[in-house]
Amino acid sequence: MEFSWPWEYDFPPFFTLQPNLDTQKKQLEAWRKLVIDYCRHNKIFVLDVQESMPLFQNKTIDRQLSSEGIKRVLEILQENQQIEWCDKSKKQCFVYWKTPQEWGNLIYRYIIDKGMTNTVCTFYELTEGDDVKNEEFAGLDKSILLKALETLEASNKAEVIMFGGSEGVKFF
Amino acid sequence: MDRFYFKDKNDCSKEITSYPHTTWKGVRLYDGDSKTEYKSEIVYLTPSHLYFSSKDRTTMNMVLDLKCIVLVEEEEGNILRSSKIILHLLPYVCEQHSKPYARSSASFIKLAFSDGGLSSFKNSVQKALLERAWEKNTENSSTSHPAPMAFRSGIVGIERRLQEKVENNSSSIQVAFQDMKNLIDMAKDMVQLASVMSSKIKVCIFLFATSDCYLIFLSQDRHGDISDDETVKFKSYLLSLGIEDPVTRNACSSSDVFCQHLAKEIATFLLTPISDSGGFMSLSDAYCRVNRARGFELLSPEDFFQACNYMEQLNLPLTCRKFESGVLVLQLQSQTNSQLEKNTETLLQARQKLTAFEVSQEFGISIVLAAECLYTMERKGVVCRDDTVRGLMFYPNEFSSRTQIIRASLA
Repeated sequence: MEFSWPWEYDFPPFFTLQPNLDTQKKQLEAWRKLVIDYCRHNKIFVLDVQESMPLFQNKTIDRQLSSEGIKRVLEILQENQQIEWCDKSKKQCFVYWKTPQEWGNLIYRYIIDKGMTNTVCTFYELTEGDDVKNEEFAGLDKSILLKALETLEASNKAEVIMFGGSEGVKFF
Repeated sequence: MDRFYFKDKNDCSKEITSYPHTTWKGVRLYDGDSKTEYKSEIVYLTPSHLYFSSKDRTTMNMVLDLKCIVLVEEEEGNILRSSKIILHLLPYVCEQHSKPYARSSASFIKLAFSDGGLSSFKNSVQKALLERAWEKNTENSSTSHPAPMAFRSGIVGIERRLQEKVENNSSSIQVAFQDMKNLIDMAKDMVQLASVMSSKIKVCIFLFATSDCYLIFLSQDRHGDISDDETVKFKSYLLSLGIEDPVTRNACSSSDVFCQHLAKEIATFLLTPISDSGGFMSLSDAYCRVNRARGFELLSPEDFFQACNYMEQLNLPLTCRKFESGVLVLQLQSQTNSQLEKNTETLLQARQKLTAFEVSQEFGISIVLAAECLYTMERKGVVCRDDTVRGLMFYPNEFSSRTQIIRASLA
């Protein structure tokens, strides 16, 4: 299914950071929504800022958001805890169109539904396995998965186990 | 031949002998085209004279002054005729000399060279004419009496010399300023003339506006004084030119009064141009227009600015306003900028996007003002910008308008 762009995407001023702060607020809000929707639609878990992608660039109207603009959008996203920088260089970030907490809950419900408590699953099984193909968390980034499982660990619903170089998780 | 005159041989011998190389023998003279009795002359050329001597005349030489010669020409000969030199001469000047010819109708003479030397004669004469040695002689004679040297020495001498210099300078400065005075007097006349003209034209235009029939009558009566729209337009430009009797600092008791008067003058003068140009004029434009209209009593930018600041206080139809970017404008009191902004908004709705240039074109205001208007609208959240390498474009602020619509639909 093709991603349906919002109207702003075809509105040239959308790609210029507006000096009027009220307007800018609305503009950045639109950007925030767009980034999350776009990443959700395309299942993007890690966003590379330097990578050129249609998200920040509309070739049809020949406009692109400046790096300053991208920075501001990501700042807003960070304030909303919808992204997290992978490292201090701020070149890549995790995009949380679901928070780790939400991911954790989603996975836990799946496990309950399948009656897989008290069994050990490998990370690979959970995200890439044939059984989870149709689940929302299929293909989930490993780092995010780990964060999600950590939230479950905190509420004593799971335990991450390392064995012989591969990682697994046991749900309770 | 009437330019020739006789001179004693002894008088010329010294001059002749000092130029031995410019001598030609066997020269025949023609007065105009007709032959004369002078068949075999010896011609001597000196820097300022041509001497003609002959064995027939024992005591006298004939003389032709070089200053009489306008042009030297060569007449090509053929089998029947020999080549000749034509000397074109200046008109007859009566001088107290005895002459071979009292009067002659021809304005030129011809010389035939039976013993050769025609071309060398021509070159030499031309060269002598170019050098114009006779002028130098007269100059020398006029300046040959140097002013008596004032013998001055010591400190007193130096002081006197300085004193003299200062006096010279001051007198030459005075002369220079006298010229200026004349100029100013002339200008006053001109200003008066202009004011008379403009009042006349005012009447014409008034009539033009009131009645077309009158116009026809007028145009017949006044030889097409107002013939078509163009002249009317031109004259209305003229009307906007001059300020009669400009306010000057000297005429006012204090600088406060001066500024107030000036403010009134500026407001009266600029009211029409500003209302014509969309209710705004940048202060620099206004300054130029006022100074052009004043002609001579030019204002300093500072005086002008101060006067503009008085406008609001005096409740004049114009006020001075500062945009947030620092641009200063004069604007109509009656017209708040909302009018311009409203117009711009309407235009924007029609066109969907606007540049400052388009706004300035549409409303006849300067680009700076158009940009200011758009910035103000941007600050108010009416428009938003699209900044690209192709320039700054303004769009309707759909960020606000659309979210409002969404909110309204949700409610």
